[in-house]
Amino acid sequence: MMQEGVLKELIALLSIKHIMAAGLAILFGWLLLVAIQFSLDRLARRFPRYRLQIGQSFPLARVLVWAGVTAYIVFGIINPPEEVMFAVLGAAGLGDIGLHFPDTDPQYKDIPSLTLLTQTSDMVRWGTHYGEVTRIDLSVTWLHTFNDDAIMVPNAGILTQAIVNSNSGELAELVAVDVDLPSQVPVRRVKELALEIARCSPYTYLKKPVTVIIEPRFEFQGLLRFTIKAYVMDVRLERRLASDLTERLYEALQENGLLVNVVPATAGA
Amino acid sequence: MDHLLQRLASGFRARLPAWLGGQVGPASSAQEAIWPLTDALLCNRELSGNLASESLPAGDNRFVARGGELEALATIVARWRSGYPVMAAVTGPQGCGITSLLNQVPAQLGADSVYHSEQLGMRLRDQSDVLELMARLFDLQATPDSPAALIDQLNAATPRVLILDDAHFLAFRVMGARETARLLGAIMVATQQRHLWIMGCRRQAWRRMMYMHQVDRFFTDVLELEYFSNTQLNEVMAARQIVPADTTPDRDLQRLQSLCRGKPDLAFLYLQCGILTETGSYRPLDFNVLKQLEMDDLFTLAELAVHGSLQLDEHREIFRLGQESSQLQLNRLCNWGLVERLDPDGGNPTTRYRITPILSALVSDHLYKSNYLY
Repeated sequence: MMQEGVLKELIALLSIKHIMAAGLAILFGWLLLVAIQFSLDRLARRFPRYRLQIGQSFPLARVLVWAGVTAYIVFGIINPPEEVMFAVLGAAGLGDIGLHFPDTDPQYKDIPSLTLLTQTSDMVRWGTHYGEVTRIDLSVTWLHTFNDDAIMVPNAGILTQAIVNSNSGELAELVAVDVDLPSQVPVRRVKELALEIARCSPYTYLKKPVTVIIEPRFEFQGLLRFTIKAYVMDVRLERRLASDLTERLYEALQENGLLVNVVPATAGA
Repeated sequence: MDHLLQRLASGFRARLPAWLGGQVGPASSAQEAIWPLTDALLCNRELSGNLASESLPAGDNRFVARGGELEALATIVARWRSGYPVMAAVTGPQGCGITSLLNQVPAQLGADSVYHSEQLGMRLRDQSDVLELMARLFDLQATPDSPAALIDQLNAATPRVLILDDAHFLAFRVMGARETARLLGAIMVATQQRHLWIMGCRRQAWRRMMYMHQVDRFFTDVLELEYFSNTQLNEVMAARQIVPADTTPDRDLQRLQSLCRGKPDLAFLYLQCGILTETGSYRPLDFNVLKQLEMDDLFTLAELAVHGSLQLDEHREIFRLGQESSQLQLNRLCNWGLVERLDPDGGNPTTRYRITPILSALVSDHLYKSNYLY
């Protein structure tokens, strides 16, 4: 509980003039952030190769702007005496940052605090949702899916549930396409074809390796699962590459007379 | 500081209507100073010939500004003569003078040396194409049946220098092309002890082959050419009698070099018709058309940049498109002036499409920034 004297002193500090000045500072901060976001969007559109780095700088800019605005309001406009400031902070009972992100908890151990904020443009899977992180607000994170849906995920959920990050800050992303074929197919020939079609797709990022993994399966009959693993040059082209690889493989199998009882499987990142 | 703020303010005022999505008003003086792409292309067409784009024959005194590269080639030849297995590649962006440099190699060889120079004018589709090419290079009477027989014959032939230009034709992104390129590479590697192979290849194609075949591991020497610097560009222009030596002020030269990226044919075009008469300054080329391109157009441009040129069928095969779609896409790019159509003639049996040569550096730059080239 704050002492009565401190409370009176605080009320005296909060004059209409101070409140209006603080409001103007907040408005300025908000406008500055809008301008920064607008400029970064334009920059990202102009230099798509650096889209991720540009996008990831906004959360940092936002923290800096609001920290600046808060510091200006507290020390530049209100300028409270030390005892009032400490009394208010103590009464708010916010506690240390360690209370909220304890390093004794394995999920927060060794985690730099800024990584909680700077992961926009990554392709993430959260529960059943999969999409690109387009915005990280203070309480929610926005995902944009391939079906053009915008999904709002509470940050509390992100911190407590496993998240699969497909590209981790890179534009290129691994795409895996599974095709199940009867176990009698000539394995080496199909593998060669799969490798070749992956290298021929214009969406494949050739700087990274293309591989084909083969594993036996059984679904009413003996099968061989061919998993083509190739990197796509931009995460936004992930579905396009997966579809292109599937189409090309089916065509190649057909042209080579190998398309017999093909069991379609899944494609995913 | 004031000057910077004024420039920022005027730039902001000029762009504000476009940012807000409204109609752009009458052209301001800043907009007038931009050189419309159509004007530049028209001017290029009207000129009787771009003096800076022709490749120079051996010993031509207009071949200047590549002294270091010539020395490096001489060292390569000397090393091969002393018995080391050598394979060399000369790479660089389109129009930087790879062919001209390769043309100078025979002048560095003695009269007793045997050499053969060949420009790949077509894609090698299968094993027989490779064997035929080799038979041509080594003047063989009959084409061998198999690569093994060919290698035996080549290793028994008189040692010679083999110059293979336009190797971008090897970077073909269709089924089967990889094996053909690997076969050619295998023959070159198997015979490098006896013959000196020098390959000229455009940068994008070379990078593609590096990623697909790891060619850089097999070539002992790779000479990377760049476009010309300020002083080199002045030297080139003076040697080709486009401008008298030392007449272009340094400031203008720097501006010219940055606008044309040091690419001689574009510099020539700038000197002919890119100067704004009122102010006497060079105008930047209007490249807004690139911003209007859709993803498929950009992918097509990227593959054209790597392949050098594409036939309609090759484009269809790479992108798995129908004839009409492919034709529409390529011709749309032609209409915008970004792509040039080469109609069939003596050395070219079918219609080919390529990025308009004077624009290749600017287009590649845009494709790289947009992540379509890497």
